[in-house]
Amino acid sequence: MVLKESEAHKITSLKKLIIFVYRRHKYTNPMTIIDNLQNFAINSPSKIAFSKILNDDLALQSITFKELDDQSSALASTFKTHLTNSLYIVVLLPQGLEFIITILAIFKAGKIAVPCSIPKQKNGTERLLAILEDSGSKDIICSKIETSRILKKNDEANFKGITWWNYDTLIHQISTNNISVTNNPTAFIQYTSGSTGSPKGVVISHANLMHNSAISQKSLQTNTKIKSICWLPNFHDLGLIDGIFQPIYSGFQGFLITTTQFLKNPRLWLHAISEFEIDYTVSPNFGLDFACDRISDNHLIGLDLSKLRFIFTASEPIRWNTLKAFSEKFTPVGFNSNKFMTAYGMAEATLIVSTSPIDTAPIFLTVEKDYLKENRISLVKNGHKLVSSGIIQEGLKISIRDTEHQQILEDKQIGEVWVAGESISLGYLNKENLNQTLFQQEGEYFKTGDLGFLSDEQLYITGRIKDLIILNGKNHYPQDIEQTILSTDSHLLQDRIAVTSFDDGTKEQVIAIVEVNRNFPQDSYKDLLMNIQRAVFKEQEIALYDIAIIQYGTIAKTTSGKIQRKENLVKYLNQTLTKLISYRDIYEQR
Amino acid sequence: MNKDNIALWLKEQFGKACKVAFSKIESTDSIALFGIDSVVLVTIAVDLEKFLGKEIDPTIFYEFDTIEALSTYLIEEILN
Repeated sequence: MVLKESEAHKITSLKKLIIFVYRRHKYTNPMTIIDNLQNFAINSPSKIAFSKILNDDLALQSITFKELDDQSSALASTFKTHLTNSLYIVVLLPQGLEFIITILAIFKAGKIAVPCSIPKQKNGTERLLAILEDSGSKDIICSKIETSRILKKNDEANFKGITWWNYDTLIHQISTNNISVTNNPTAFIQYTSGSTGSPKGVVISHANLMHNSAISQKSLQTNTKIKSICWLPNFHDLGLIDGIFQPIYSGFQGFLITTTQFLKNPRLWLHAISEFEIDYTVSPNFGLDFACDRISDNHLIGLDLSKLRFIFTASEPIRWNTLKAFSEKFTPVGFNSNKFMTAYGMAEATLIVSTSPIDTAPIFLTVEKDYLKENRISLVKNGHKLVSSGIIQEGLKISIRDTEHQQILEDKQIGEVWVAGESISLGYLNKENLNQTLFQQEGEYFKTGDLGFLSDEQLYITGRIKDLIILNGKNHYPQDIEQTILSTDSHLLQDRIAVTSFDDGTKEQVIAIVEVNRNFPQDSYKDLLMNIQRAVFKEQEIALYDIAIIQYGTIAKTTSGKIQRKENLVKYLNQTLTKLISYRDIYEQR
Repeated sequence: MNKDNIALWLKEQFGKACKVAFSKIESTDSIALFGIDSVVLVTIAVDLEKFLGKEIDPTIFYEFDTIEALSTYLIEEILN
């Protein structure tokens, strides 16, 4: 077989990474999550592992630990026979039992899982295609219905060389569930970061997963007697690690509802917690806001949150006002502020980095907001309440570093958050250069790109160095939005568009600052603004808060011509842009 | 149920959700121009399901982003 040079290079670098992962973990931690699964399957075979909530009447579809072990073994044997194309298997299944069985089967077959979100929109497969390219995967596991829907809405030719495996067909081809488990040191690739066109897949080893699962078990106090519920997507680190792996690791019953079910009826989440006497659940900040807004006081009747021990909240900035409003709203049905566990984590650290203790009200500091913008901390009596993300977990290390000179900072000094420990991934797949600058700093630290400080061992996250925009728990890259804007009009210019976001006190607002070239007709500004807004909405599913058209040549850039998003944002907020017209000027006249 | 009923219903919903006067919503305006949050679209999708008695994927609003395009799609693809 003759390989193109680029392909050969890719395979060599891949091999190197795999060998590296293997050597590092071979002797340190041979156990995997499969051992935990098999242990519970043998010792408590009839115990329910997962229950998917099917409808608003709380009808359940459940699977025991024994069934989960048997069915995943059976599927693993089919994988070993039929899926011989590639090591990486893309999983495009909806939230539910099929997804869990598939992931476990991939582990047992010694392959590497790549969970992805199912493309919904017409021509919405750009990210999926980039992931297939990046991972070199040739196999997709999908349902029959979704496969035909995706291929109908998109150009089938793009998927040349890819086999679409139908879950229902595979599960019926099973001949035996007697397989020998093959161990691969890498468990899965978490594609949660990187722009649409160049996704970054975090390589998570079984050892990473076991380490972080042990940390979670300890801080969340999970054991075989408890129950949890999760509505976060499977391909999201919180949904995957906490929603699926923690129940298997500790041997308890995990309830699942889909994100769509939650968004359509957030009361279902709390109703299930009440009915099934669930011990804990997870939600990013926006989920708490959403439940608070959408559940009317009349609908509190029938809810009982007194048995719920805590809601684990992480993955976007935690707002004091959200916690306060949620506690107040649900106090009549047995909730109180001691039932929040605030936390910090990321896919690169498998999941959890820090958490607040159980049965304790969220800890906060009151600081001067204007100082915070300049990355300085000034404690005041009345000001902005900054919620602590808890204390660093045992087995992990944290270090706050100066963003320029990287020296260690003291308490209450804002710098970049660095984390180290066995939960930390070895890097992004096929991103050697980037990995060298981000991972293994001083031999062990991962540079998170988040800004924060320590105070009495509590970690406070204050912002980000990177330009990432987090909306409703979802990551968006400014580069993607800028590309969409650029494509709307030929008068717009590459590297003269800045997309950035700011916190208006209640939510994250996204804005665009654009230059147009000099011969752009003035009477067309309004149309241009409308076209940009529409394109960003359609392609990126974001409604921009504002779009400012500014004088040509005045957008903030570095001397080497790189766009400075933060600098442009500061000018926008201080109203010092050389603004010609903005979307809000027109919008407010409506 | 015809296209006009659906269009009228959609206009009302978007007007309410985005606090825009009913008379100011043109059928050919993109929903994007109402400054609408993605979670609000989900709740409109839920109400739309109840209104039509059919399952609605909340992402249709991004694909068919005007009341004209939406009501055409709903009458031709969903109700038939």
